[in-house]
Amino acid sequence: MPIIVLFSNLPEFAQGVSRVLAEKTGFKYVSDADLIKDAAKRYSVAEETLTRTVECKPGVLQRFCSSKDKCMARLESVLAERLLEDNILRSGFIGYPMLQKVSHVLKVRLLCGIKDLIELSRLVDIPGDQLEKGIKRKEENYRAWVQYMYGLDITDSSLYDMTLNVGNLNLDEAIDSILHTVGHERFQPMTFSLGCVRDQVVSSRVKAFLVDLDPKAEIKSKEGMVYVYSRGSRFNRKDHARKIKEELIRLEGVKQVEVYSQRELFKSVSCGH
Amino acid sequence: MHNKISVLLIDDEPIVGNRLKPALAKIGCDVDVFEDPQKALNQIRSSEYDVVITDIVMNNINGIQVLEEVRKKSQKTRVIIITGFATAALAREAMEKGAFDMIAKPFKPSDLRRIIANALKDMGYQDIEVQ
Repeated sequence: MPIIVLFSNLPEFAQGVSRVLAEKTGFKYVSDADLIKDAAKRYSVAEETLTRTVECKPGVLQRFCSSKDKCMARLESVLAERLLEDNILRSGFIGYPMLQKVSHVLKVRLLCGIKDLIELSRLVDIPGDQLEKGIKRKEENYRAWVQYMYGLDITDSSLYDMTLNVGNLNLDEAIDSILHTVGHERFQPMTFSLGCVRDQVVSSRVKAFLVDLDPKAEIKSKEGMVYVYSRGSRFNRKDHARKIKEELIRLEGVKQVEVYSQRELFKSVSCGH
Repeated sequence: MHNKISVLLIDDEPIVGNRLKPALAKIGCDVDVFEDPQKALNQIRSSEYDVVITDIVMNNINGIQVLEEVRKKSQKTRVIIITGFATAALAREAMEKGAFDMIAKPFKPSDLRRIIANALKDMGYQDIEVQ
């Protein structure tokens, strides 16, 4: 079954609509809180650390730079595994680059005006008298967070498959449009797109494992063949590569590992597969 | 396995046909291999196949054009795309235009046999077995 991901300027809005959509359709909503719980359990990290990475402003995150990379790698790893399940519904930008590679993911941007947001203010934890300012501040923070994490501008329409102005439609009409669109042939899973998800599971698992050793390591995998770009230090590149191979080969889904210290070579070899 | 499943395979690299023809014959497929997509289109216009397997990037005619021709000729024929240039955009285009499935090269013959078995089941054939 296809995967639906909802986006909005205010994450709480997409989360709220996702819950309604999940109730109406039987899709299983995987929230950020679910990912945080999964990642905390899998990687023995405090939930607060992961929550801080998801919710903090970039200025604060920059002070915890390596922790940010580790947290995102772990969240993306548990997200990739959830994508293997049927009828999944998500909201928000965590793992966006991996979602973009999978053809059976329908990405929907929900637009709404500040008045609609205030009406839907039960979704956000802001005192009534500060609502308008508070919502605008939250939107700005979220926009900056997505820009900082993934270098994406959330207003760029090319990031989405469809955009719905919820201010002009009622929620039921918006949900009907989403369900109609997700039924199109172009969003149905196939051997290639399901393979992409399985490759993402392995790549993100490897990334989550390697992030302690090299937060800037780049990984690409295809059917268990894993390509890693990791420089190591000038003086121990061979040992560094050997150590990575020995560790990664033990991970589930990894059949073979190649480690490159030259980025161009890594790119040309891994893109050929 | 259903007797004589008719398959037309188009790939401009001879090694693909040489490798896949015997692999598909093992499960009872009668495979016509074409390296020239124009000749393959002529054949598609004159005969009906259960399954058409086509590469995407070829000289003069691409796999999407083959898919469109097959759809014009028959709704029954299942089209499977095999390509070394798989992307999400191509996958969506192929599915929208009526492909049954798409697989990225390189793949194992058993992967293609499994897709063919699914296609035949989708067409109503019973007792499909692949290894």
